[in-house]
Amino acid sequence: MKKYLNIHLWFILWIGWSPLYLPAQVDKYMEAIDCYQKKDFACAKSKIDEVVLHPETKEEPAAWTIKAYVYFQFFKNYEINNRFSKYRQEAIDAIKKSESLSPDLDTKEQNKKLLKIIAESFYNQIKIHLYDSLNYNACIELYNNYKNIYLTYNPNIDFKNKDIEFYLSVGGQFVSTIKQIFDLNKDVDESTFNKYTEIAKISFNKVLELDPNNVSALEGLAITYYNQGAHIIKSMSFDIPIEQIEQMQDKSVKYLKQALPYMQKAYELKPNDPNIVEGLTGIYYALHDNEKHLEYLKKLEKLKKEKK
Amino acid sequence: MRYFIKHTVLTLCGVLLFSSFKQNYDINAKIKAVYIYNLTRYFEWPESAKSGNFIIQIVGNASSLIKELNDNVVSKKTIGGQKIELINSDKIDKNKIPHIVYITPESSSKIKNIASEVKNKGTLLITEQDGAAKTFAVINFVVIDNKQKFEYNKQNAIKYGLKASEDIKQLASAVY
Repeated sequence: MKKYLNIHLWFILWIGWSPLYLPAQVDKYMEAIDCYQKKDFACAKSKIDEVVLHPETKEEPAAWTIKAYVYFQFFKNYEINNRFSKYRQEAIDAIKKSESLSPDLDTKEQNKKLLKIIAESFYNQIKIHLYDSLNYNACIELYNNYKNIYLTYNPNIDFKNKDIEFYLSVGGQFVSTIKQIFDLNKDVDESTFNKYTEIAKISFNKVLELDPNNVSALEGLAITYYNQGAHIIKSMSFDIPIEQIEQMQDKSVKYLKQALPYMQKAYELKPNDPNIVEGLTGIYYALHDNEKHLEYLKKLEKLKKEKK
Repeated sequence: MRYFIKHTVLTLCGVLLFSSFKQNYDINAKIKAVYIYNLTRYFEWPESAKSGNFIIQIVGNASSLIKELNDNVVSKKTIGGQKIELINSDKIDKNKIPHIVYITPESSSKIKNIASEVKNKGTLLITEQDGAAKTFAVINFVVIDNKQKFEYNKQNAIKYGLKASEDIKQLASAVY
């Protein structure tokens, strides 16, 4: 409340040199804040829009900051799921404007606080586009927006852990979707399958660039390659000429062999993880390597018994 | 507090969304099923076997293979105009001599007996046992370079009353 009063006082002092015109702007500015506090954001918006357009107050950083807060509330209330929200963009632009007008420390702090929240609003939207609509491009765009905005108020931030979280989530979601397609025996067109597979690979490889021993990414890549090999056989027509069965197997085996080193490395790092051991049994089975398949099957049974 | 905004940061479920590798789909069963169905193009059964259902018998436990055959062959295909019937039994019914018998590796001990039961009756005997193509099988599944292939015994085909296309020799990994 103290700060709230301070800004009013400061604003009144600032506009005090223009007695003929400015009292009306003071009123509007204070009314905007009042409306905002009362959560009447439509009222706050109409008042602050006037303040920031007025020739005598349009260069006032605090007014732009308030505009940013008001517009961000509009984003929250009306466009929370819209990644192209004009209200949010207006809020970002208003903060930029405020910053360009050499704001005092207090206003700067408010700008920084809101920028962080805006950045996180982009991150939050990734969930919608990843889990609901599986829109990879939207996720990348939102994540880049999140990072770019974050960098404006914290230029020294290290995104490594966030990058890992993001790319594991993307890769994991696309692998899960492919697995669901398999499990539910759904038909999927080749281009969709290939697209999902490539996204999963790109995502897991990004994680491995940052953390070469990331078990989840290793496992994810192994599963992705396995799925590619399995998909070739699964989609093979029963009317295929017999001589082509071997060609299809050649293609499938190529992917299955690519899956193996990733799952083996994951196993070296986490030998007691039943999912990884199960992965190895599956890959060796698909490669018709009965000896290895049984070897890992025994390990899996042992691990399951130990867990009980 | 001047500009209060309620805000929560969500966390993406980054780890192990795909945690279970469990695959419900058996690709090796699919390959065998495609082979079994396609091999019928290279054999001719005796006249006596060209009426009624075309019977495929699986000896042993092969649920994935049976599912593949049921879902994609029995319900969707015919062989020489005959409807396909799938039997899963370890014993040959003398009143229902199968056109094809596939004996799983685990049931290989039954090869000899089954071979004697179907001899000269127009049955394509398919096995999956080392050396079986040299003894009783017409077709024996083998694994070479991580791939499913098959060996072929021409003499056994004749013994079981089948006529075989010469083309099959080109497709087999070994011919006896």
